[in-house]
Amino acid sequence: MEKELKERKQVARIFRNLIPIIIFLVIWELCPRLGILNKNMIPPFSDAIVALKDMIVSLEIFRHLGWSLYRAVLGFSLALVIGIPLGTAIGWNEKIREFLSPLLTLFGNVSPIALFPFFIIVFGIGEVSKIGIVFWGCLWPMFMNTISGVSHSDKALIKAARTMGASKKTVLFSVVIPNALPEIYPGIKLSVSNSILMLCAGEMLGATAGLGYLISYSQQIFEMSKMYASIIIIALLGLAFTAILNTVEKRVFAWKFNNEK
Amino acid sequence: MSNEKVVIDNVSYSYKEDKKTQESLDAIKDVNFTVNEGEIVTIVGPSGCGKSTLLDIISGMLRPTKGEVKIDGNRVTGPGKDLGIVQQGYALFPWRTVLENIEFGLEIRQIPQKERREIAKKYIRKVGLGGYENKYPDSLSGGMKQRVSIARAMSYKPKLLIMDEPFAALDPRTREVMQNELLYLSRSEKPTILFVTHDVREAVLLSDKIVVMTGGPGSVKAIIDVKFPEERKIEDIVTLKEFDELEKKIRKLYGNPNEIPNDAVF
Repeated sequence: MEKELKERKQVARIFRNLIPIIIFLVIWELCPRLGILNKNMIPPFSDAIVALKDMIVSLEIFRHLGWSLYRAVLGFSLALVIGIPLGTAIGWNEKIREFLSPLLTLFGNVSPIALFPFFIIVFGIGEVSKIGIVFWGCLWPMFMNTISGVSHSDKALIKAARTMGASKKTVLFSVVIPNALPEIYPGIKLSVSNSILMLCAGEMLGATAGLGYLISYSQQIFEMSKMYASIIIIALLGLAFTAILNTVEKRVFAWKFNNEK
Repeated sequence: MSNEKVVIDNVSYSYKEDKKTQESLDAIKDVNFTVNEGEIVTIVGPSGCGKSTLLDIISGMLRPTKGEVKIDGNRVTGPGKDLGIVQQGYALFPWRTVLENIEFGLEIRQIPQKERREIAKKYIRKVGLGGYENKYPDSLSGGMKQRVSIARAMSYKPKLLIMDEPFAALDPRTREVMQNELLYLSRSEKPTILFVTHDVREAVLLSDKIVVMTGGPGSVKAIIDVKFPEERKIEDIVTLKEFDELEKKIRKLYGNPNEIPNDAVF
């Protein structure tokens, strides 16, 4: 009986969440049709869906999606693989951390988009500079949060582990990193959202394929429906990533929500 | 001689307080005592008497400036695998369940998974937490957390179990319950325990031997043997005349908090 009630409540909640979106889409559909919005600038929602359908049928969308995903995933992975180990090393050593802190704060605050011309000069306009921009945008949140999380290690936990016979390696992997994870994870979430951001920016400024390119190109040749269709895809991509991150979070941090296993 | 599990031999520790004058300050000086196998030895002393420094030396985190600590005849040169620790703040790993916390010490000693589970479950029952295997520490009360901490430290049968003011953060009623439970546990397991407390009463209740330390620099003022019957229960001990006498004796050595120093002005 209780489970039924819970399920019905969940369904009701999903409906409630969808209503504002549906209202928004209805407005988007009607306003251009009624002339409230300029049909040439902002075609109705259904036109965007038709353009999307065409791109799926012609397989065009998959080519661009593939390129975008490749750049985003590669840039993010590089940032992960470098940012977290390096952040751990720096966070662990107080002297190094204090020494580097002003420099890192400076670098971390430089907007990656501002650095884009620099990337182009150094790496050219090929893939390297695009992936480089994504990498740079993803690196800083994870890197800084890891440094912070590791530097806030709970000394009592480390003492307990060491006294019980844990090696330094065990302390690092079984105590320090799990302890730092609640601080590292928000950094990872931010990095993931930055990856899409940087990806779009990079692709708009110089690419021949990808969702960002598609948006920019569609706008330039004035195929508005296609442009909005591409924007919708990017939004869905972001939603998908967020959903994955939240699911992982519920699993990994079950202990924070006071759940039983 | 073969009964001696832990020997603290003439241990001193000093450090340079003032970098300019290069003066060294003695944290502890000439500390001597032994812990025999299966004994509960309690260190009683005021804050700042160097108890923490001594514990750090015994656990190998700190090197003594003079003297040495031997466990089972072997000199302590660094953190090893002989010790267990229970601290005032429980120090449980919040991301591990109760069961997984207890398994920690066994994992380090590379006990295979199936055996680990069995041992951990056994100790959960021993500390009376059956049914809480899959709970996370955050959902437990202070007393329960301490029980997990004790189970974790005892599960791999360490040569010496250090208990550093373990019950200080608990309310008085829970403290009494835990004291009784510790006595009960120690009867079946016969662990070798080095207990640290401020509470003279607790020391007299639990120990086989009490080491009274004083501060500035930390040193041993007296070592007192406690001889209550083996099967003692706390409610029985407190009725004994010897209990009161011992408590008074130790308080005297410890310094009477009711005494106002001559030059105090109120």
